[in-house]
Amino acid sequence: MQPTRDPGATLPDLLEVLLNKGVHLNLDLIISVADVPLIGVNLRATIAGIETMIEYGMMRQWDEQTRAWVQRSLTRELPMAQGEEVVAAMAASYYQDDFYRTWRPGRAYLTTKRLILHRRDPAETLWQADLDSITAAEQYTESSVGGADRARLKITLQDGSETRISALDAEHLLSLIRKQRDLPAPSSSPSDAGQAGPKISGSMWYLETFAQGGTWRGGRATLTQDGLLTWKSPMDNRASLRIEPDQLTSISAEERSNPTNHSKVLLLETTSGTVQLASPDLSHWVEALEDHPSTAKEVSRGT
Amino acid sequence: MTAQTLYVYAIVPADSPAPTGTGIDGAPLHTVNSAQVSAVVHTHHSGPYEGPDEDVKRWVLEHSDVIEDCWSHASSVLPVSFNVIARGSDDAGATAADQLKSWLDDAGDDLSQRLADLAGTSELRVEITLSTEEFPQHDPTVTQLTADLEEKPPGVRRLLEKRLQKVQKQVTDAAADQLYPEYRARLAAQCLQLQDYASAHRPAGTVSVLSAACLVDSAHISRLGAELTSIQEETPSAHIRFLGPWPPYSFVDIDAGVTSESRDGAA
Amino acid sequence: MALEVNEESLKHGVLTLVVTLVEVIQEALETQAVRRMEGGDLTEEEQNRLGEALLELDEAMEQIKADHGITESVTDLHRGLDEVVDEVVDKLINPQRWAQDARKESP
Repeated sequence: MQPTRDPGATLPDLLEVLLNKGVHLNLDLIISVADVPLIGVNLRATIAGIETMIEYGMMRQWDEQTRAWVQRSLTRELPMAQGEEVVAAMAASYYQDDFYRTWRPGRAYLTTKRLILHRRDPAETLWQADLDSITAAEQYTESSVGGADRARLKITLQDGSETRISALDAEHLLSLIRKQRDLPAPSSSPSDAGQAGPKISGSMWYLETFAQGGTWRGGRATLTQDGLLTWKSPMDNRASLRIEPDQLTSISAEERSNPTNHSKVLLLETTSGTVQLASPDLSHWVEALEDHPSTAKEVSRGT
Repeated sequence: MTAQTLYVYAIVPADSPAPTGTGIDGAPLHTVNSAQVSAVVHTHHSGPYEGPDEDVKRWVLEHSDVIEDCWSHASSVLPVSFNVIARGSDDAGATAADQLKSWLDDAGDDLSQRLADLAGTSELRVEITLSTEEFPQHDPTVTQLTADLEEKPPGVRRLLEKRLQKVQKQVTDAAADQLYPEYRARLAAQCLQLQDYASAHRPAGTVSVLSAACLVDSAHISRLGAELTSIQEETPSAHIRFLGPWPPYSFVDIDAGVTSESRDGAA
Repeated sequence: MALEVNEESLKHGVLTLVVTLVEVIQEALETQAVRRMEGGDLTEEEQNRLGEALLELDEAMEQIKADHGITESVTDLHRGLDEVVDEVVDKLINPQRWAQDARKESP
């Protein structure tokens, strides 16, 4: 395949590159490094504003304030314990199963300590349980009165009681409950597991191979509950590394130079070659990767 | 401010041949020299270039012609962005040429290091896209939806078509996630550096798998081309744009020797 | 740069803006409609009514754009808006990338 220099085909690319790339000289030496006249200047200015806000942490403040406000307005009716925080809230209903059997609508609040079903108006806590008392949480499908299938959750408590709830996003709520409570995801429903939050995620260096050797690049690695390991640099459009559990054949750690102050590098043998990763938190990653059932049997732990 | 200014096109090594052509709007070119590097400039009498799109396009292309000319005659070139203008300092009583020269002196080590790093290299751009209509043709959900469409009344079809587009996009996007690591690794093996960018060229109905600026040893461009040929043969529905070779516009900012990009000596 | 405003150009600009915004709202409606359809909330009868309303809106929009000769300017503005939104979303998702760009531009 031959590259093209046909100006008809490459003009927009060339303009983009010349306006955005290249050496920018020291500012006091310059009348102006003109902003792009081709595109609406005002729109650009708006974007610069957001960028600046992120840089100076203003969005963070806004984010914290918003969350604090939600917390306050919530706790007016729903008293929280010291240090208790809402993790998630969504529309949900609770199946009341005494003399009066019906689905009662409200909102589910998952806090760091409890799962609560609360109705705001008129205010009533329909049901609540300490997360510590939950022994099992699972999803099942039930045909609703209208005939359509609906995903529901069944929560089992220490005292053996079972409660049925339904939620706007039952799968998500379930994965969050499991995460808060460290309940195992049942192996029978693989679609569930895909929805669950990552098993471990953190900053990681990845050695990318170029024509003249490797370059350590900083980014973020994530290992999902079903064993998919990905690594993505914030500079890239997609994840550069994607290892399915059945592609991983062995895990070891070896002394090699790397950008962290940890002396060892994580070596992953995969069906498509060796991958080198470096992390200040290497032992955690080794543990998490070895922990996975499909790789555990083949792991040879190098030291 | 009325004094003369200097419009800057490129930085080249000090021993480079003098620029041959003319600059924007036929302005005669000359160089401002320091011990290690030279700046290719024209003497400028007004402010930055601004005007209608057509004029800007013409100026940008004339600017790029000068850089191309330097690139083909000098051993290496650092392209300078469009509309970079040096001026004198009234306080210091320095002319624009004085100011530029003192900057070249100060930054000389850094600039000549960058020039040495980029000598003999070219930038190429690779864009690989998948068509959301063609690519997922054989996906079971897509086939099912397409079949369902036939017998529905027009209103339902209007909604189903929208749904079909959404599913096609999702399927294609998932495929792109799978293909990206493989394509990136294969291209990286033929490149000195690789940098993703958001493509300026985004036709509707396509999903971008990869858009990367590739820094390549100019003698080995054909290797990158060969790799793309084999990708094309494996995935005929992928659409590949391969642009260049250009001067290394996207790579002038490489920080040579900075820890975050340090080369792995052990490999 | 002097900005020339006369009645014609003002009308053209405002119409383009309004029609583009209606298109954007229509897209949001469509997305919502498809989501509800996928959720199984809509009967086929309802789906058809909704779809037909959208078809009518499609036709009306084409008509308005053709009548006033703003088809092209609406397309341009719509694409411009899409790109800006893409860019903002990208900034929010990948603040690091943009912080790096900002450093490059003002050393």
